[in-house]
Amino acid sequence: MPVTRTSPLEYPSPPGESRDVAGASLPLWFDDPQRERDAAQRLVLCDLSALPKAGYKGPNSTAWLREQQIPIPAEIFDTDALAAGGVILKVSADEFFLEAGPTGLGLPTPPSTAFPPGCFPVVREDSTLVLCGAQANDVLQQVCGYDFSTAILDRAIFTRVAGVDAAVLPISGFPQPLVKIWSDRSYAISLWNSLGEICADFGGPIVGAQALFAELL
Amino acid sequence: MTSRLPPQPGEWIDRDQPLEFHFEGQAYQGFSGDVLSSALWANDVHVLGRSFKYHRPRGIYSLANHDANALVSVGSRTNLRADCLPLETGLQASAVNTVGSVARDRLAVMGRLSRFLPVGFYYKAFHTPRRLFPFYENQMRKVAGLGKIDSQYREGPSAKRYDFCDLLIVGAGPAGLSAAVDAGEQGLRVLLVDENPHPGGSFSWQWREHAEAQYQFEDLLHRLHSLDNIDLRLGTLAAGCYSDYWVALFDSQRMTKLRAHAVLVASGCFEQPAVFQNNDVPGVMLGSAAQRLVHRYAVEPFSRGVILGANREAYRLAIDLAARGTDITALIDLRPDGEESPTGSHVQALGIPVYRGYTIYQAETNGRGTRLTGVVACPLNSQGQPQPQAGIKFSCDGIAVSVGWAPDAGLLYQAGARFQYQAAVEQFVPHSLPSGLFAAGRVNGIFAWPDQCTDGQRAAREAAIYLGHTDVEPTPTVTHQGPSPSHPYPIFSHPGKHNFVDFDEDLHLRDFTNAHQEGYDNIELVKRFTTVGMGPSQGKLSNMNAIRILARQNHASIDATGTTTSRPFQHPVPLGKLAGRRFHPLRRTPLDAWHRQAGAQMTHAGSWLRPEHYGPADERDAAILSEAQQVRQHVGLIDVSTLGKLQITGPDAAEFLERIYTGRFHKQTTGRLRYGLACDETGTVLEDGVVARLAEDHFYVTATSGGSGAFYRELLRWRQLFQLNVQITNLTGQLAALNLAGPESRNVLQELTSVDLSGDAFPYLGVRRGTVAGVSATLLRVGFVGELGFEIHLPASSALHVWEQLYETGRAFDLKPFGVEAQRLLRLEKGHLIVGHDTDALTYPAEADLTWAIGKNKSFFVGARSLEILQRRPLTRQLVGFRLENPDVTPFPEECHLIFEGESIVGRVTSITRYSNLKHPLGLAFIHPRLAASGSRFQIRTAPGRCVTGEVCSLPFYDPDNLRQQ
Repeated sequence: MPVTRTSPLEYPSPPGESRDVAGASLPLWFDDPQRERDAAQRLVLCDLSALPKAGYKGPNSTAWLREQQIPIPAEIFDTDALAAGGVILKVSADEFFLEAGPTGLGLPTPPSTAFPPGCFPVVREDSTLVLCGAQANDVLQQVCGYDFSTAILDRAIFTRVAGVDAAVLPISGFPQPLVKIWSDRSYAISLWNSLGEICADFGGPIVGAQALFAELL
Repeated sequence: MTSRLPPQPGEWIDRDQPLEFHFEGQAYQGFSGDVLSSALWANDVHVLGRSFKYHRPRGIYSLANHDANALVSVGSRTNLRADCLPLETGLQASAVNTVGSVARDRLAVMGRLSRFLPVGFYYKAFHTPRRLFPFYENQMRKVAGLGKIDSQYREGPSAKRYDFCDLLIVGAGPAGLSAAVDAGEQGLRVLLVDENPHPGGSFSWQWREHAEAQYQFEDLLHRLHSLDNIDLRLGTLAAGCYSDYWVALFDSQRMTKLRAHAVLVASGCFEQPAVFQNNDVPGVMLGSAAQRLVHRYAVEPFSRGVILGANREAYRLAIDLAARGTDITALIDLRPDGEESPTGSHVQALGIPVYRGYTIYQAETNGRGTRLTGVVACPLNSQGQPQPQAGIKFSCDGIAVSVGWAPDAGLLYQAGARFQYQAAVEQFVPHSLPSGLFAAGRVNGIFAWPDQCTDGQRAAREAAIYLGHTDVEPTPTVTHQGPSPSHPYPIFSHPGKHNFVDFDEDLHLRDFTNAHQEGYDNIELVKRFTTVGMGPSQGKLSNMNAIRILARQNHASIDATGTTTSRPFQHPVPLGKLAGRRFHPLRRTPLDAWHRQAGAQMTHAGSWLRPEHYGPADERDAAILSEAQQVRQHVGLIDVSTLGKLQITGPDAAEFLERIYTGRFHKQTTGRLRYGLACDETGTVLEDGVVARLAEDHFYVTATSGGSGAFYRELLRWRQLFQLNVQITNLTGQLAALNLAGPESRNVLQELTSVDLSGDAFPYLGVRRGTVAGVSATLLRVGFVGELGFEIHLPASSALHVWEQLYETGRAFDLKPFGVEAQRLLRLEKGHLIVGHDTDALTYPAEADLTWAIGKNKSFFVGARSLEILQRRPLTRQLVGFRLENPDVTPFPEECHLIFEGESIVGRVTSITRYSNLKHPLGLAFIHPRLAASGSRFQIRTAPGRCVTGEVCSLPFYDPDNLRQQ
């Protein structure tokens, strides 16, 4: 039977169009694709929790990932790009967090037998929320005590967002500020509601993934 | 608007935007840019409020945002200061603390009773006869307090905001502006805040007539606006300073939590009152208030006035007012030598009579005390005492007082600054500042505007150097030149007892001498006894004079007398702004939506939301029992995703667990579970769960829902201490867990998994990995509810898929979901304790009958040494099972109800259920060991004088041979 995965979130209205990403439904747009892309210039909130994730831990995790042609970030909290738009984050000296790109691809394939000694896979089911737009920092200023105006792009900050432990990644390569917020998925609804309420104060809507990645349409 | 002056240069009002507003039901005209006080004064309304205690009429006094006697209500908002309440179209304001109206307040009769109400009267009166205290209390509550709270008022969430800067500068006057510009030009990220709606500080009132000062002001503003790295925020109050320069900023919208790398306070000074008879009558005001009225709001403070001065500012004020046509009847200078400067000569040249070495002895009023009609001035003798027999009368409708200043030093004190009284300025000035804190301008004892600008620049450069800009050239320190701007004792006794020291609390000079006579000779005690400084303005106009009075009474110096402690917030702040938008994140399981759609009643379990039971709330007890019976008889499915789930990996994983838990794990075989009991160093039960060995170097551990976060952090701590090669990963939120329990559970699950679930292949306390409904999962054979059962641990995103598949497959077996209350009942029937629920912060294993979980002859585990000691002591309590005969007994016992033997407390209930599958109420309780034998009976006190009899039973209540879970 086909396995389905679900986002931890409930949306105020059903998506207008979705895409299957590794068994999960990734909303592409809710209202109107062009309007959502325009809104992303100012402020939008987007759920990318459907993107597959993986974690590896242990003293030999670096070597194993290298064998899989995965780039290893130089410093702790640094990130590097994976194929197909994915990202790898060095969480500690011997722990890595990987997230696939918007098409769901880019993660290494687990070995058919066992992982080598000293490399342990870690289940990662974090929620992925994205704030994008010129006012993204205004929203973060209401929920987080970290000064994001001085943050280094593509380097994660482990902090608390609206009372929830989270890793926040300001991402380069977008015309407007864009941050990914990864958190324990059990807190996802609380975090989503808090961010959604504040975005609404600024007139920022909830959008589908195509507002950030137009190529998905 | 009969007192409105022609347009003034730099005035804050917009004459193109006239506004209509109402005060006490009467319509008036004002302008946009007015505050309520200025607009009323322009309309010749001089009674703006009533005093707190004696209900004396009060008008404008400081016009500096702390006129605590002009508080108004606007709609549901109350206690708003009229001197900083912006005028709006349609504003409907009324004075607080009046009966009738502010003009004819019936409670003004309190003034006639004043001799019965000396300071501290409430400490001494109303104690006897005791039976009358409720009457006194009722009457006092009616008249006490200021504005009335609208308990129905609701305000939407006010968003808080975090903000950051290199240098926070408080105050945009000459020193603050100069500091900001200099720091900005050094490249610092500067945040400049001022509580007023316009920048400039004293540039906008004291130095408005001074062309050179105005040129400097314009230049500073121009330079400031040209720098992108300066953020100027007006209408923003810095109200509190906390550790590491966390400063609370308030504007009309929100509180901003500012984290500054350094703070520069250029907040200026509060002008201080002189104490003379009737110094509170409407028309008596500070000189700075008169200048603010003129220059900011273009309002004439009075038409015929007397100035009481003791500094150069009084002379400038006289020149200022005379230039606008005000008739200055006299300038009464407390100083015998007067003002020997060109400014003094200028006043003389204007023909204003100057009385040197004089004071105002008393102000004279109309019959109701609502209007000033004149003053009596008299000479001071060589000791500074007034000589009323030589008094001179002047007719006037206004008095402007300019006798001295006190620093606006609240933030500096809160940030750790120490102050010293400096005789050259008769003022406290910063003596030592902690690193990263700077002071400039008037608060630093610098009064001339060019010096203030230089001082601001000096402080900014020191801040820049502190922040690492080592190439900055320091600026020399400036000091005050010339006579002191403050008089050392502008306080004069009078037999009339209306010479007020604290306007907020209606404290007059005699109150302080009385307090001193009663032994209150310490400034903190004087504050508590007299309540000086405890009113809405927090002593901004009274603390300095109170210190001067006490110092003189103690024959001590001002420094030796000291100041009271400054605490946040230093200005009134609306509570709604403090509350702000609240973040109380709740955890939800991946099946949260399913549960709610299935009619679950959700309950809080720690930080989680869980289904308590399914079905209507009013059928709770029946639903819980039905769900429990379903598990006992058929099969039930519960979402246990809240369980703590930890992955322990690495070559030292077994050794690590061996040290953490009381049991043994080195020889645990792969594919098997063991019970894990963890204690802290004191031997107290900390956590329990199951430990599954998945591989030689890979364990999977569960922990309680409420304790898993703390337990995870504790494991991380021990890993650091042990220095073992082990990785610990908290998977609590990453994995879901479902418990399929009941006689039919094997049959349901077998249809969805490739794992052989037969008893031989997968025995009780086994662990297997496989797929369930196509999803990789870890299966645990556990029996928390006392039936055949399988816990299925799987990725959270797939939980709904697997749950629905199980639910669908289980239909043929009459599967139903059950909630956390049914689970608690089932485990109670089985006698399983819940750590943190049936244990407390002092419980050690022997008390909870858990010594079986301690490995024999283990050389070390956390808490082992403490347990050795504890086990040599006799038990003082023991966790036992008990039953009640009658489920319908009322009141029914609850958890934490005490157990009595006679009048002695011998235990307490930890868990109890009214209904069970065993047909009678069951529970667990801590009880004294002598009552712990099966069959012992005890009394549970359920209400005063009401007890229920319980009987100790052997555990488990259900399936004592453990046949059903095998």
